[in-house]
Amino acid sequence: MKRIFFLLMILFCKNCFCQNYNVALINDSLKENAIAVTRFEEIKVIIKSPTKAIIKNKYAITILNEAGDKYAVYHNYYSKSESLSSISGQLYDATGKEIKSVKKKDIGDISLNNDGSLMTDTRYKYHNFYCTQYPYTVAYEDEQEVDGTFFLPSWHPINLECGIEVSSFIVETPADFLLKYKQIAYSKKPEITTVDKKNIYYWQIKNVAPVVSEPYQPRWDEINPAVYIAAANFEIENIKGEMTTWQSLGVFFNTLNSGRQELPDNVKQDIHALVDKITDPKEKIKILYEYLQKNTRYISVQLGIGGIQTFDAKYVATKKYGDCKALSNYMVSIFKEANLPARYVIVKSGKNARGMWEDFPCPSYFDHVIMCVPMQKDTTWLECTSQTTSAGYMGSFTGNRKALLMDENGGHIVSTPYYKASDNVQSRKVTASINEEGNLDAEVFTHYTGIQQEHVNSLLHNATEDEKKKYLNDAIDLPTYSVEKIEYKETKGIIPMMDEYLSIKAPSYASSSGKRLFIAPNLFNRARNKFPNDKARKYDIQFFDTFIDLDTINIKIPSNYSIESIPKPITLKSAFGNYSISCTVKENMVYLIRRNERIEGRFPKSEYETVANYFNEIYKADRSKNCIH
Amino acid sequence: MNFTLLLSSLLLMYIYIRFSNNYFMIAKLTFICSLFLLSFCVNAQKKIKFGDITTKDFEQKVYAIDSAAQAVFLYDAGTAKYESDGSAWFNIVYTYHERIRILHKNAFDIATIKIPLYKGERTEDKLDKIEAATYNVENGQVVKTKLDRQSIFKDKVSKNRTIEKFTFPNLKEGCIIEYTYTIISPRSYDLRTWYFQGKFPILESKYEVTIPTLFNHIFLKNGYYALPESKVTMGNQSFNIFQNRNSAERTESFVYNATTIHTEWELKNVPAILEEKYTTTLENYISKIEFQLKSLNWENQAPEPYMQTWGELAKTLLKSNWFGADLDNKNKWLEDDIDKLLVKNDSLETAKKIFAFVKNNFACTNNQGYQLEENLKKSYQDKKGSVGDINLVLLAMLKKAKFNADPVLLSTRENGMAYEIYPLIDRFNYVIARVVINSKVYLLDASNKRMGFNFLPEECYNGNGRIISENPYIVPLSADSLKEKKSTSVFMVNSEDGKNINGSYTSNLGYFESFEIRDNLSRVSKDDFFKKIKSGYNYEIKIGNTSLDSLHDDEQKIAVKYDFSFALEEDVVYFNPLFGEAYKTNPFTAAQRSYPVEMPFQTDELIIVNMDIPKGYKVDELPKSVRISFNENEGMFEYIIQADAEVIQLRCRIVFNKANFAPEDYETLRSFYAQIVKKQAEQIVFKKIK
Repeated sequence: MKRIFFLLMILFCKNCFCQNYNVALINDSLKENAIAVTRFEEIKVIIKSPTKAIIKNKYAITILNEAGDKYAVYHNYYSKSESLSSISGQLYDATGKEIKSVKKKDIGDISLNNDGSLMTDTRYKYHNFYCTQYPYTVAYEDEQEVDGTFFLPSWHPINLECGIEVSSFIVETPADFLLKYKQIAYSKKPEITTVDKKNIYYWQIKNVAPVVSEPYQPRWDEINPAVYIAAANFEIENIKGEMTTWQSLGVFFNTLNSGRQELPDNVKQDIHALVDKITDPKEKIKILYEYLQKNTRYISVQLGIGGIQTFDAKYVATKKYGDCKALSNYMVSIFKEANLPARYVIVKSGKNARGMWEDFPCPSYFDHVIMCVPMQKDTTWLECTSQTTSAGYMGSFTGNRKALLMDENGGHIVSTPYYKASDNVQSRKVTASINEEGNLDAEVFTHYTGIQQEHVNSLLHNATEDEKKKYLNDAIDLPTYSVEKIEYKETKGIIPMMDEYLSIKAPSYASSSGKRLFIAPNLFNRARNKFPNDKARKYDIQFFDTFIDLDTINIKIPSNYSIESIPKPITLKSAFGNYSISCTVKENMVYLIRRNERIEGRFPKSEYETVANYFNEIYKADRSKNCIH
Repeated sequence: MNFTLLLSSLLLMYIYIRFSNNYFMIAKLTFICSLFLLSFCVNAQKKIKFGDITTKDFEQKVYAIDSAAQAVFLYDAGTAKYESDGSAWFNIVYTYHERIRILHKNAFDIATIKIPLYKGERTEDKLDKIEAATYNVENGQVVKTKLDRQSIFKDKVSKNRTIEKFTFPNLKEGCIIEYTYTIISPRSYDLRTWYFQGKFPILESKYEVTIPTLFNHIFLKNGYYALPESKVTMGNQSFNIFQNRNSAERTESFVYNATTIHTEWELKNVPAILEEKYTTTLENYISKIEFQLKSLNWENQAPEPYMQTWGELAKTLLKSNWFGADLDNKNKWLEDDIDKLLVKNDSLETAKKIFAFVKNNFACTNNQGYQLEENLKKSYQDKKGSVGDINLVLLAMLKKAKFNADPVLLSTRENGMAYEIYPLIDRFNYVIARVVINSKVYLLDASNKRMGFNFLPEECYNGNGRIISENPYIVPLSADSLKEKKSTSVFMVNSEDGKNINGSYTSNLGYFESFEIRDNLSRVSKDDFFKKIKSGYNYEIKIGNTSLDSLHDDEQKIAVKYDFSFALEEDVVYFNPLFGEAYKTNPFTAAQRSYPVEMPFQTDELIIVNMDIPKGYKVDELPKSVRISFNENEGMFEYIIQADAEVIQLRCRIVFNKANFAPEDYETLRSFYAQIVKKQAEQIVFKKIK
């Protein structure tokens, strides 16, 4: 029975690709609010053996208007270990009539090297019909041949503002091949059939209305259908490995990187000279990390085995540069020489990025390497590509997520440090005075910690004077002002801290209308955006950040003026945050106290209106003005 | 030479020149004088050799030229000379030598060196003799770390371009990096430009070229930091030439003994140059020297011109397949389409139809260019191409329909100024169509989907264009000739029950703002456009009856219209009457500016507000009226407000009668804007009548 079903499917698919691309055939529900509609998509992964896989991509997409043009461009990547061939394609007009087809010489070929990397062998090919008569349809096909089965493609059929008629993901493997898979937002089980000693896995979605992104939605890859696959037993450039468990995948990485931790003598001498007399291991870690930071820098060179094997420690020791793998491996080597336990850790980087799934070992998701020094009581985490980060601080780049740690026994899933609200504080004291012309003199002292200090920290270390000014220009909402003094002080630590001192003069800060002055006493911390609240919410609400902002502002006003009106105090409490603001006046002083706390978490979409009201109240309260005369 | 003697002789000469008043004499003496100076320089100047770095070079922690500099070029030198090894025509051999002190890790990026190399069909640039090393001071000693040759990567960027790149090892703050390399280029007619200025300060920049008199160049100097006089010496050089002229049959081999001219420019202490707002392109202001081959001057023969006159250039262009060759042909393949577009007895309408046809059916794949990718027919069939492809197709169609039409070459703002006197084709990057209909001139650009008939993008207004016809004269296209006019009017009345204030808003935009909105609305829905306007008010407001008049008519300016309604509740209300039209920040943030402010057009912005005083309120405060002029009649700001018992009227206008401003005007301009920002932030105060 299953066999017949499968044969029918094959026929169906074939029909799909030769289908009529007349735009009139698209169901209205797929076109509404869409810029494009995927008419048909099929990704077919044919695993021949652990050493070889073929990927056949086919799709047809109808572009409804100019905004959809971005989906009309074909592109795909290739490198030494992954070829790309048989690119073909057609352009159809609104009635489905073929107008043009891809000519080989119109296919562009570009190196992926950019400012971020010194060298990689990855390149990509692209093609564009540049059609201007909407709606139109493009159909493309290509084929990739991959050496090894370490990296396998995954299926992400959903694109923003794009409806889908049908999209399928087919994986064909030898009968004795163990394929592992993970489904996201896909409720059915895949159809699995066996034909001619081959297992065939089949996933499909049909008739999906277009989606738009919403503010504070959960991670894209947790709310939209996707399928990830992995080979339980794989090979890459003649190295065999297993990814049945994270432990076994870790064993593979250990094999790949073994023998790459030999340090040259001069570095060994440096290490011993630096830490042999120190007894406190924490102090040792700090000194050796500073040694790394002072002597090396990040340069990306992605050559060799799929860009996953590290350059050896000697390479870094002589050149004093490397990518995340090379620098982390070098740091591990240094700690080993100093008799400290050190572990190589693989992670997905980026703000709010998802951590590893504990139940699905798969290499195609992570993109970064860090390291850590586990001790009995706690673990010190180190980011080896930064020359300025505090020892032990992961922050928003790699903190608060699951990562893969390698030890002698293989890999283990571990959690990187979590930063709670009281770790991420911005506490600001402003002492200001306004004269009769409305000119403002303000001394602004701000203490930042944890994730909230990151942008100021990078400002201190990475920004030019111009960029600092630009940042202040953006951060300070004043018509014309001059910063008379900027000072920063950094306090390193597991929760790093930054102190910022600004002295600001702002002519005509208080708008004057004849004898009146208007003062918005909340000088520097105003909610940026109003929350739109006019569409039905599709996704849950998720706040990834947790933090506390505190503002204490004292403003001296001219003595011959008096206060006419002051804003009412406001207190808001909710599951996702607490906010209060109050303004008081004594003689010629205006005092303002504001506290804004955000609580992280995921909230059902039914709460959306409550959330929107909460944030819109804050927006308004942050802008209320005093009037003095 | 004895130093005192030199000084005293210079002094004598100075006195002589100062009082002689004989210009011929001055010229002669200057020559002698420079000879003296030259010999002095040769004596005094220490030759900078690769690798000759001592601890002394590290002593300075801060450089006087820019105390905040994150890196300083200590030495930046290049040479170019002609060579021939008997197997080919001339090559130009370039050597480069750079020494950079890196003071801050944020400047580490400059330690990644990218050397672009040209690759033609048969010939290519060859890179040779790369040497690079990093120097640090460790324990009082200079430690040198050499570049490992295996760490030099070759990246094939495109068919004609490869980049060789490497990064320096062992960088530390305070280190010195130094590198040198040679490029052998077969493109002997194209002598490379030298930049004396860049993103970091340069203590010493030097370029030397040795050119056989055969190659007669024009030297084009550019920049805010004027170049010093060059030092010129004569020499001899012999070349073994193997010449392959035009066809394989005619080859010749000979020895050419040439007189050479050695020219040297040296500039010291050049500050960094960075781009600020309202700049066309820094290329116009950066100090550099460029070379244009003018003629080949064989000895005892009349010069063989290489650079053409405007007339010759136009002729060549009109004859070449990739530009004008097919424009006047029969082009029968155009007939079917043209026939459909002809409008009887109305040539202007026909031109408009042809223009719309090209604009709507051709996709622009490169928003510059003045050439055809292959030939006219191919561009026509492909229905896509660069600005050159599209506008030349437009021209061919216009000509086919018997219009008096010609191409106009221009250089866009981003591409920099084109010389008026030198007909240098490489300076141009854009072509438009000029058509005369009933003795009226129209300028057309069909490459941009949202540009109307007889409208050009801002980018095209960059000085002068050049008509390519028998008489290649100038077509003036200055930013000063454009005026962007915007007028906004707002009317507000009390609702009948007195609870609300109802109003209507109409803003008649200028053409370029209309263009931007059209562009924006190709990505954003009309709903979202008005939602953004709504969220711009920081009080609750209802918006309805929204419209964007003429949104789809590219020749018209857009009118943004909506009705609104809001209620006042508080006892005291502070009300800004400018409805989001106010300048909230000063566009000029930098305290100083060393090159001109170049706005894209003149501006005239007017806001008129007529409002009922809200029912139950009285006016407690009204901003004062002001009128400020900028540099007498170059600009003006007025804010005129008046109120009677029932109505408030406001008229606020900003006018600039100029688009370009000299750096000397910068401070005035900045404070003019500061005054506008301040005035426009003022509010009306309404108080509830008790």
